[in-house]
Amino acid sequence: MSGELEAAAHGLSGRLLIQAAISAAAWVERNAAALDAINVFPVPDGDTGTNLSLTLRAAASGVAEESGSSDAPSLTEVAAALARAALLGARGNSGVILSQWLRGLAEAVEGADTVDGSALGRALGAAAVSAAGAISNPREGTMVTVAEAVGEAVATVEAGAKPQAVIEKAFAAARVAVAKTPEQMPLLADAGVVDAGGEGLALVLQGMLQGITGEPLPTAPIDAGRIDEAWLSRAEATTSEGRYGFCTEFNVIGNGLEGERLKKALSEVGDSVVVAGSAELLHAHVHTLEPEAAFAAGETYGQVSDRKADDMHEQHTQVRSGTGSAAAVAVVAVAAGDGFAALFQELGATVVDGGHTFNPDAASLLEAARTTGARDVIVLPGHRNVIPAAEQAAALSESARMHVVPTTSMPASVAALLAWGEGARPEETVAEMTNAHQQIVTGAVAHAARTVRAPVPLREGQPFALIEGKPIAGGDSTEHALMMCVEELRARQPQSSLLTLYVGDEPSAETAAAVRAGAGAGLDVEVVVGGQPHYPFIVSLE
Amino acid sequence: MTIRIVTDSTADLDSTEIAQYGITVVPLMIHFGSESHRAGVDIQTDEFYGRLRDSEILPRTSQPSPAAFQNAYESLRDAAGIVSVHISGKLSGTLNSARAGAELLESAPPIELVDTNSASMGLGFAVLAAARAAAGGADLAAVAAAAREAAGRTRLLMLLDTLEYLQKGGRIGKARAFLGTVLRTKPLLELRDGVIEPLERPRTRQRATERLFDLIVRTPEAAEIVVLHGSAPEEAEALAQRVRETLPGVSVRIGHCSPVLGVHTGPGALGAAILRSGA
Repeated sequence: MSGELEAAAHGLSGRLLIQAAISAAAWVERNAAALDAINVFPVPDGDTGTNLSLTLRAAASGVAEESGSSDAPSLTEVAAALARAALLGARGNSGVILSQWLRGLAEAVEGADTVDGSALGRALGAAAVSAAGAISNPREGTMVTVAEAVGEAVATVEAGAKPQAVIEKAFAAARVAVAKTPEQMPLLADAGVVDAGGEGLALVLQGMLQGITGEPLPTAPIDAGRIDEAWLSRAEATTSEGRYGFCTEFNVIGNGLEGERLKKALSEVGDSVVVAGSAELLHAHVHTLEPEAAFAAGETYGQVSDRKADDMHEQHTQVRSGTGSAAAVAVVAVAAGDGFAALFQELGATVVDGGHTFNPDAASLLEAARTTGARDVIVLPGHRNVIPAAEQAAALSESARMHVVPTTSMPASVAALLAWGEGARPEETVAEMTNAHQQIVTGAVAHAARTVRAPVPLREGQPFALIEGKPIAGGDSTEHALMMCVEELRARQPQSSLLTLYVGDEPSAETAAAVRAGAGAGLDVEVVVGGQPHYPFIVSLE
Repeated sequence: MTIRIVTDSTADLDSTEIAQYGITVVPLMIHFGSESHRAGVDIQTDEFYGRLRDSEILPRTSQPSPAAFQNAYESLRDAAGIVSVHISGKLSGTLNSARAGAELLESAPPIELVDTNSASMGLGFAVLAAARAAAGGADLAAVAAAAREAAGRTRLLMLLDTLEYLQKGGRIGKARAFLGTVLRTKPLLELRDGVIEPLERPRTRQRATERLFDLIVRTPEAAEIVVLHGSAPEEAEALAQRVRETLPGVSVRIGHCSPVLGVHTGPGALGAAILRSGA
């Protein structure tokens, strides 16, 4: 070892490059998950670390095999073998770029038994040129940019400099270049990360450096100094902006499941908790920073399936950075109940709270329209009583052109929002929404405020069914009224395929199961917690 | 000495077409954990979809290595030229590997790379157009032009059961606008200019299939249609039958969504590649 260190003082030998490659491969492998976690460009598929690691491993084991027979392989042989093995094993874009980088390096040292620091510097420059050639349209702020910065930093090194000093300088330049990537690529700044491929190249240089000096690598990436700390805190910052985290959903299959208990458990790990279903099957929804903890909570009750965890931060960034059309057309929807408010928001609407009486004034609709900043604002009243206020607001509006799509129920507003196509002109959107909300029929169950004889006889407190806002019959129980409601909806719209049950403040798993059973064949049933006051159930059929 | 055609395994061509024109297909890779397979070589479509449904691990895909392209091109060294026709560079790094592979060659016939901005049979149509031009004796530039021209006449529509796979695979693009609602929807997507664009989000499969049918039969000047599916053969057959009845003069057949695309669409995808008639 001391002999090699002495050699390092003079030149980079084939043997030293093997050590450097093995060390780099080990170091990148150790940090692969951290790199995966910050991978956002060119596609955020979370595999930059894995791809770089697989590519390097292929290169390192390839070179170890090829040069194993020789005691003192030349630098030329080793570099060529490394490049060849990397090209064979290249995975992903980052792997291809790395393999081209190694190829450039190999070509630059061709013919040499060892090189001094000065020649090594020039070889790193050639490596950058070769890496840039690997991709069709290199962009600023990527792995190629970092390779180029490294190449420039070591382009002119005095003759006789130690290779170790050159790699140190290269590593330092890589660090600076990596830190600049978010300035160069707004996507990275948005995501709050540095470029994963560039960071990977910095790690390669760091690993090489440690291979050459013979220092052991840190065992844990997290304790590996400021680099990894910085990634992790940055990566964490992305997901811990409080309001976001992951929109997490799953099903629990079991016997005698109690939705309330699961709901309570999920409230420990997040908010916006929604649990619906039967004693055999529960569907759960929670916004949390730790989807795994939510799944684990589910597993204490039964078998968890259909796991889904969507990064809401990403979605939010997308919405915020949005398209021109999002700013050109906005939608204001009136909601009663947390579930409906959340649903409207998820579908892109600005929500006005209808309050307990579902009767917002024109001023609050105008104010909501103004805050959207859009030139065209579509209002979804969601109730017959709100239509006059919406029309008044439209007449009074000065800042925006307001259009009223007269939905008379919140499910109708949902249907309208789902028909909101990106990039469509305002008039087209109004037409699409109008068409969409007219294709559904809506019913509800309420309790009679007092005893009446018409239009249908009801006792005070008796549950009754309504269709499109009109009472049709009283029931023996809320469930009974609900089943009457479902039957009447089916009779009015026999050619339907989906029934959506929006449950109010106190969802009952049994009821949901009964509706599923009673809906009959050929009809999908979806249960959503609307959280609406006054109506234990709102049902829509389409 | 003729021009030879190279493509990648996302083209979803059937084996007869590949054999008929002597097309070289370079496979993309599918990884279940540390287990790697060459798409269409070590793992076939049916086996893949079975595993996709059952596996706990979400498989990943990767582009072919530059060396795979180098080998493919080298095996065609006697050709007058090679036209290498591929999946959208905005969806996959395959073209980058092809470019790197071409640079590795010491002596080779001239190679022209074509980015079709498409995938599946959208890419397949371009490959077939190139192959027919080559068979007719066209030169390198003319064969590449034929591929690009056909690529410009294709339309690729896709109905997914869920956006989950597209999101986890990092290819969701603008369809992200359809994410994140408590309601389950069946997204209808179109590949435009090489990227995924969201079209509509019907709430049921039945209605979504109906909309897909409408979009297919209303595409002007359709000349050839391939109904594509990822393990949904009955639905594909029923859809193809309706399209045939509605558009009598048009060639309508059924094709598979190959495993690499399946990783991103998930099981149960249904779609269509449509080639409009030339000018």
